[in-house]
Amino acid sequence: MFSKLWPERLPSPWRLALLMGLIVIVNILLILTFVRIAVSQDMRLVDRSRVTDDLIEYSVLYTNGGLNGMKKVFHASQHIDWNALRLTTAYGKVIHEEIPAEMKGFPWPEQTVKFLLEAGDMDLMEISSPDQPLRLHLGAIRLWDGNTLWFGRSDIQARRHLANIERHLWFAGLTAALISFLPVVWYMHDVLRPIQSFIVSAERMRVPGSNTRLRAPGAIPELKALANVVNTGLDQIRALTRELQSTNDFLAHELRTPLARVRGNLEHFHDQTDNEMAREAAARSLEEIDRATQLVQTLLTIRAGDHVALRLHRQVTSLDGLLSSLVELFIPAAEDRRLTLTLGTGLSLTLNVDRELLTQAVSNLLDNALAYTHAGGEVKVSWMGEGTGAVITVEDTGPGLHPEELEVIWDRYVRGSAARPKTSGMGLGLSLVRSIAMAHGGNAGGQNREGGGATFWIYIPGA
Amino acid sequence: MNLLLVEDEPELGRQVAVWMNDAGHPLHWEKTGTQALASLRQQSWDVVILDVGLPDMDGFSLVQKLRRDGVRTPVLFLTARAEVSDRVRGLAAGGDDYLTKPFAFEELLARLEALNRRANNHVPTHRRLGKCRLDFVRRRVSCGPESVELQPREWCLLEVLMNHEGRVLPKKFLLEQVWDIHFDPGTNVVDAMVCRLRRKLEMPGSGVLIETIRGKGYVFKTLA
Repeated sequence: MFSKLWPERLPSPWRLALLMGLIVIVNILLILTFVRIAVSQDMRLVDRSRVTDDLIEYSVLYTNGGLNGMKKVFHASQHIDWNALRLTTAYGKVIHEEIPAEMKGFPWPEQTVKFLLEAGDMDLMEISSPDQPLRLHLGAIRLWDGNTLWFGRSDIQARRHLANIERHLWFAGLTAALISFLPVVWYMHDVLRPIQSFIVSAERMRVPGSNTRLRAPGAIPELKALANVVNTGLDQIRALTRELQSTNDFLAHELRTPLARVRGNLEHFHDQTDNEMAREAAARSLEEIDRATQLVQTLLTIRAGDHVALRLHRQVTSLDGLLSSLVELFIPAAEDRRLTLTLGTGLSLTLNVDRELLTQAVSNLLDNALAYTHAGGEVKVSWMGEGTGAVITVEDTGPGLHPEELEVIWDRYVRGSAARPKTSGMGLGLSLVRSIAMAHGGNAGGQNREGGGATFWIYIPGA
Repeated sequence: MNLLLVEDEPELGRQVAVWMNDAGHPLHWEKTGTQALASLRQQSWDVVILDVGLPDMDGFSLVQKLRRDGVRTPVLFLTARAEVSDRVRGLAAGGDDYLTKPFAFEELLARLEALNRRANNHVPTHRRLGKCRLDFVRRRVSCGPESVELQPREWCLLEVLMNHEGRVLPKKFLLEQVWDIHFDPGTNVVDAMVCRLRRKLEMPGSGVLIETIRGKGYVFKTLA
């Protein structure tokens, strides 16, 4: 839900910090509001009871010591700044008043709200003025001689209390906020840092033959568990790859040896027989055995390439040399088919590759291009540098690829719809090309050319 | 040629023994590495055919031992492993040639003869073929006043075919010897090249025949 509130690219510690900050500020404001309401209510009650108490006290002083006695006590009072005193007749005529400068601005009422009948009757009021930030709590009492004694008290003291409480609350709140940022620090250290190290390790795993594992020292238990699970999986994959490798070796040996026995006997038969038809059959069978041998090898290479178990025999190889000798090899066959086979020009490039496997990959593409391009067509091989690696392309003017087939043709045993029934093959050529490219850490692909035909490419990164 | 075969597989061993006897080469067959080492120390052989997967030891380490002892006999590995790394390992161990199973009998024979020839340093400088003269040093074919232009690969193909005259050479062998390619490129590249060479050589009446034997390969014959 929160992830929609800010842009994706904001790093998660920032998101968490922003969220925490927001929560802390909202909390402090809420607490302040409620504290303010509660404290104001309490202070108002306190102020009212103080006004009542003081009114009774001053009326006693007046009864005992008259106006002068009362004045003396008032002047001796400490809180003279926010207390005020006024003596009026029953009709509101002021006899005497003691109002400090700060409290001059309040409009004192002429009359009490309640009609004070007997001596000791009291009335309480609250007065606020638009040009005064403060509020005045006002009390009046009927004295023994029929005069009215007014006592006023501003709420400045209450406000000071409140301000003090608010100051302390802000201090407490911000300290709490700082403490609450500790989870962010923890999150960065124990959660985010291990995740970032996972990402780095996972990147390293893409390199063929890499034995990198996820490491999470100091991470939260859940991430440690994740690292363990992933590492166990990787160990299993590695064990499986090793097993596959030994199975490959076993399979190669176990299939090749019986094929060799059969081939030997068949060849003997072929050479010894005088029957023309029997010899023809033996010749066909010999061809089939050779094809089966080639197939076993191709399958092993593809399987191994998929699992990066292909043992590459890397050599520093001149790419232009490799391609030109390959093109030279295919030219007579291309001319027989009345096709033009050309090699593009480009800069000399050296790559550290398995020379034989790369030759095989490119020759598979050439084999396809020659098989699918009609007489009079053109096939062009070219290359260009790509970073420290290279991209090799084989273009033809054949029928091209059906858009739906662009990806599936790379799968094993899939042959494009343009494959003519007379061309033999199991649909392994392109998956072999891709396996070889991937074993080198690269890739292979194909697309249609503008103006007809197809382009196939092999990308080999620098090693 | 005096041959030593080291092979634990009875059927394959039997076949190779029969073939070599038919071809007129005496062959001695050992079934384990230890026995092979013993006979190699006792007697000298022209070429050793050595299976890589032996019951008691690895063919590669056998050769290493042999080379350490100073035995220079040419060794041809016979193996079910076709990967480049295995081939490189075999040659690095001190082997001279490498043949993967299954193989054509005449290819084995051709390789053995080549190894034997190499060991005996027999290199001719020229050869007469009918009306034509082949100059191996200058790599030129001249037929009377005319001369036939051969491209480097064509010459190389001719040399390989001629070196194994009368032997049916499989496509795989020619790809390896002429183009250094150890897989089947699918397209009939060898066929196209052989046709081209055939056209160039047969025209001037050199008396040369390059025959295609279905299922087996190509054979170079002289009509004279």
